[in-house]
Amino acid sequence: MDTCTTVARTASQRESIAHLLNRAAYGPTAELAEHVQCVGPTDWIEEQLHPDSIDDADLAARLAAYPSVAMSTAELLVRYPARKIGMMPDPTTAPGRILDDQNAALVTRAVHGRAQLEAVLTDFWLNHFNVLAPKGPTKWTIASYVRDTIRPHVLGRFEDLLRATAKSPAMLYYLDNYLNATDGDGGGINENYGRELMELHTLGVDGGYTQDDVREVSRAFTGWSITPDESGAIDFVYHPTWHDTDPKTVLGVPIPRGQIAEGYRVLHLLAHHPSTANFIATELVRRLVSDDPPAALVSAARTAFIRTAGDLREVVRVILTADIFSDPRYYGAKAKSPLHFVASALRAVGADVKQGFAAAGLVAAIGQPLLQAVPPTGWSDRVEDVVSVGGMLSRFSAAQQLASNAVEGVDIDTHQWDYLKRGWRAVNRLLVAILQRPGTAATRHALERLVNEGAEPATVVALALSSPEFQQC
Amino acid sequence: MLTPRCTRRQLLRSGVGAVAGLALPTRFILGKGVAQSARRVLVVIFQRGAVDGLNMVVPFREPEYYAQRPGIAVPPPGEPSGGLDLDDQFALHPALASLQPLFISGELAVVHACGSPDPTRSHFEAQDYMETAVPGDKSVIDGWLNRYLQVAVPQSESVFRGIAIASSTPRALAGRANALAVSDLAVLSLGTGQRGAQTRAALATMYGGRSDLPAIVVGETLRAVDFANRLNPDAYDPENGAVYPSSVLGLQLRQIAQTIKSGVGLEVAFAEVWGWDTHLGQGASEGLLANALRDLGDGIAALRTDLGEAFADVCVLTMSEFGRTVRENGTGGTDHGHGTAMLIAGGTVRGGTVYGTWPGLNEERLFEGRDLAVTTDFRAICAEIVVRHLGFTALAEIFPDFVYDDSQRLGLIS
Repeated sequence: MDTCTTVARTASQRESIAHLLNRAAYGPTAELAEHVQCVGPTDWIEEQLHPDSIDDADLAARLAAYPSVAMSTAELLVRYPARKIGMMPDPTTAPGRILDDQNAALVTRAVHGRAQLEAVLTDFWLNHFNVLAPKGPTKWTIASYVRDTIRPHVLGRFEDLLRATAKSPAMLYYLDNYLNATDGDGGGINENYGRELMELHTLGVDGGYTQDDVREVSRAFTGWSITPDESGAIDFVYHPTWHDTDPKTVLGVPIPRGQIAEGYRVLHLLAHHPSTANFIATELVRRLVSDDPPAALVSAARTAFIRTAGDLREVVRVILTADIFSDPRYYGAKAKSPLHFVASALRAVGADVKQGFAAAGLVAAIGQPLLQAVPPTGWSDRVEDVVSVGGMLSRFSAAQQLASNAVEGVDIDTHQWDYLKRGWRAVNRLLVAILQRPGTAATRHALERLVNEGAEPATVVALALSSPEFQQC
Repeated sequence: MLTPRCTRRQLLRSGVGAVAGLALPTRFILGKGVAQSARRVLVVIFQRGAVDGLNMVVPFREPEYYAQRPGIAVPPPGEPSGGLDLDDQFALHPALASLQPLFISGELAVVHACGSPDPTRSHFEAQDYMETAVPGDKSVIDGWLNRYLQVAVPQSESVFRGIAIASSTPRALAGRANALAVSDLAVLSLGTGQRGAQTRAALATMYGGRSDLPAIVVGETLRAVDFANRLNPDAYDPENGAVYPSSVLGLQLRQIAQTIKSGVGLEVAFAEVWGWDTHLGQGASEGLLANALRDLGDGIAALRTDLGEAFADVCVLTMSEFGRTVRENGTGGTDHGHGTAMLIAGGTVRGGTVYGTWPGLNEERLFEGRDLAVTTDFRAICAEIVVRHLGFTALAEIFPDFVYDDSQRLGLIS
């Protein structure tokens, strides 16, 4: 892919690039590690910060396998209608197919997409602004939520992202705001969105708001609702008669009376609040660097957030280019989420994902079915939340299936490991190919013993993917 | 927020609680090292989809029951296909015939008109609320059974203290205390033959010298796999002539019975069964609902038979997120409602009684004019089982916003 002549990489360069690709991407591929070496980490980061400029015809061709991902909500309602009583179930037009397509597409992007950072951040923000795809009308709005609400803003302005989620039918339904109406009109104030907007989306739980603020914010969003799916489209709608017109004060700031504008005013206030800068900076550093976010880096990211009025591209740039990001103490400091494990394994073995459904099924089996986290916190990527007995068994089983080329819709050339039949010295080559480093003595020893015992190459590769080092990123 | 979002890592750091014990060299030896004193076990069966409590336990003295359900009412006892009389007021659905002997022998109780105080009719929300046991608060992440495991003194260091025979960890068992969820104990395997042995040995070598959390979990995993290999669930023979239904629930209950009998340290087990969302053609004495109830009743009866004397220390509780409309709908079914009934079976249960306050089915007594009202908060039932059966009294740890006092005690457990 590159015409530049690469110099041989030193072990420390290789590890440093692998670290960058473990955090800003879904793990290294042989080709990408070489590309980053060639252009240099700084230019690669810059390229990734501008996903619109990345030409990705290969991915576009692959995504054609999941046509519903590109359809409008109105079209999805026609193509994948709700099942009527007495109608025979048809899996090709069942609404559940939309989520299957979406998950397969997300995995395909993670494995094959060139805009890797965008894919990583899309996953981050989909969990930050969690919705539950199988619930109610979200079945039909989830495609638009991923494509139109989240992805275009992950390297844009935070306020735009926040506003897009606030008006998205998926969020309006998930956090009940579609029912939020002034007490006088037969409905009632629903505080679910107002609370999570401050606790989870902006200020953080310790961000300095009170129960009164929850009430006031909730009243500001009365009337923000959705059109019912029977109408043929599920769109944002504002009902002026549902709106609570009494004066409101949020975080000590009077909100000028003004119907729908009150909600916009609240979003603006929250998006630019110092607590929000702190919370978003902390969460991004936690995701990109360490479960224990280094305070100095959080501070730098928070400063960038405030200085740029919430330009997420700047915040991410500050994090990825900071010296502390590349500190070897953070190599392998995070545990891979189920999606990260599956995608990085597929990338490490050079898989060709033609149909991503079974691969997405592996992510679900390991414990985090995509877009199906029930609580509004979304899926956590902290180590204590991503390892479990059942989850580890599912990882080992997935590794075995991958190494045996037994995952439906995925092609893996198992002959690439024929060299493992040549004896235990081949283990080093395998570990460098998969981990980008030689691995610990315990891991090397375990795999060398397997080779000496004449284990199948697939078993050795499966164990390399099951190693402690490969669960880390 | 009612429950702190305390993490397993914080727990590990502070070095308290059950999970910290997992980091210690284990003294847990398969088949040995298990306390022989009476170990109490709670088995929860969740009926997902909202069971029609009014047809599961039929209020056959209520004229409104028959008036509102012309096509799906279960006839009163004594009539053809009639219910099985319990106390001259309520009758079991005839498909639950295998549970009638347990009611007569005093090992089965019913609580009627129970459920959640939250009015939601969303399956998702209502199941979550019932499993976290904090209705109305979506911020609570962990389940009440997990909180029990967190705060109760562990009876062993077993990874099998809490188990769900389910493909993913149900909310009720989710949380920072370790609990095992597998769809089938036979899945607890690293492969058979030489490859399985090679895989196990390599994992033990690679993870053995480490002390980080993934390594601790892999250690637990290997112990679970070893246990399951020894258990050999596919070759299990139920005792006393017990025959489990050949259904998902039958498999779950069979494996729970096997785990109880293995003495591996089980305290809380969870099974779940779908198929209760009967909007369409639910039937009366026969049909969709009858088939689901037969599966449930035969499963519980088989568990009781299989466990023999061990049933003395077991309590089985059925739960469902809400009940269904009193009125039959236009498609021979029922829609999402509110109050329902729960079954409690076990050696410590004071059975033979239908507990609770019956609110009646006249329109003015119905919840929102359409559904059976809830007169017993489901947490009162759970709390009584936790206190009287499991012997744990610090209820605020498990039911943080529910104040339980003796006046709510139903007398379910002796």
